[in-house]
Amino acid sequence: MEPTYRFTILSPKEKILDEDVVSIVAPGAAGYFGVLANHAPLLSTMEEGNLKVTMPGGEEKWFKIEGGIFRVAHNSAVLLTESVQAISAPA
Amino acid sequence: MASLLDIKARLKAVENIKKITRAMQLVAAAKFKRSEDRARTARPYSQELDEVLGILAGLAESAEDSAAADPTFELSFFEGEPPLEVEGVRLFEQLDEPEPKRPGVVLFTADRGLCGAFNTRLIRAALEFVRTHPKMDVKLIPIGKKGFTFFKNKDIPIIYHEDGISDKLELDAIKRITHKLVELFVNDEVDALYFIYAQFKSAMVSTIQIEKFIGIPRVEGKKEQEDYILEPERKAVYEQLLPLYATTKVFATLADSFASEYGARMTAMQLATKNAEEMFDDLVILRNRLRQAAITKELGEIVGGAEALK
Repeated sequence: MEPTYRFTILSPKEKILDEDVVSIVAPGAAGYFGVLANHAPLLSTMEEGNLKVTMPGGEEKWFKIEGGIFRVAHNSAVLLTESVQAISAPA
Repeated sequence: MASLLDIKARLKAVENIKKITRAMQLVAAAKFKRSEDRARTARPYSQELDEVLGILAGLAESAEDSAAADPTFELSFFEGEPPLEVEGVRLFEQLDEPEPKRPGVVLFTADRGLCGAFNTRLIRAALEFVRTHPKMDVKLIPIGKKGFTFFKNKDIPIIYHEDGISDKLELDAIKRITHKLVELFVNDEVDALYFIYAQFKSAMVSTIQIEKFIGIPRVEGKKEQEDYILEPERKAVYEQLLPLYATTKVFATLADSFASEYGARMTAMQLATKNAEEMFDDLVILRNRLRQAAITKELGEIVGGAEALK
């Protein structure tokens, strides 16, 4: 069983995701970065791009985001964004 | 004494009014449900943003911080719109800040009435604010028609107003308002901004809140502050975060305000429907009594006439 952590995606209008995940790969200001469990505290702005979320068991979820802000600390990660859309796979 | 015909006409009128208030109650109830959900989902988002901002404010300034070299922040709300430039230090809460001299009061009211004391309470809170701060040169920014109509002929200057905001809370409209409010601050037309709005508690209850809009909390080097990795550097994060923060504040305030408004309207219309029902019942009794009186009178006349013929 891979270690997991809590990942929440919030927009002003809805909670898009609130689940335990294994890893994410997100489009940060300094390029794409990955976050696994027990990541050091990080605060980063987001660029436009695709966000990959890997669930326990290997299932992948993809989202298209346009900016926002990401924070992770103590195995709890939050992504705040105004524009997010679930997509099937990156184009 | 009203005639039977008069009562019948009134009965019909009351019944129609009851139908209208009932329909308005149902409409408000449906809208209330939607706006309540939104007010509730907007809150965690706005709280998380508060937290992020708090963390950022608490982080020690690093050597590569460019804010020291160039203290001008560029805040961009729209693509295509030139960013607003503001000197960084003004955005922060000043600990030794003197009272603002020219505050702007942003009053969030409804566009329409028939929602009980909702608008009156907000307007009264704004008047109270002006009355209790006699030394300040208060300027008013009514958002919502009711506040504007009330204040447009009063002696408090209105520097900006907005109405007809859709309860769907489209982000473009919110961004436009936020941009305008920040612009007023940046151009020094006001030196502080206060929001007066109805914070949503439940369908029956909302409380009037007065909150300061601009002023990032200055966190004084908290010891337990985590050593966050920051990407990119501080100033750039601020520049992206602040417009988001300001927009979210306006969004959450409007969401709260709409939920309170529909709650108030739903309650008011429910009461109106109940009153109409009571009035209707009273009128029915009155009508029956009058009709019976007329029948008795006619019977009396017939019997009297028959007696006379004997």
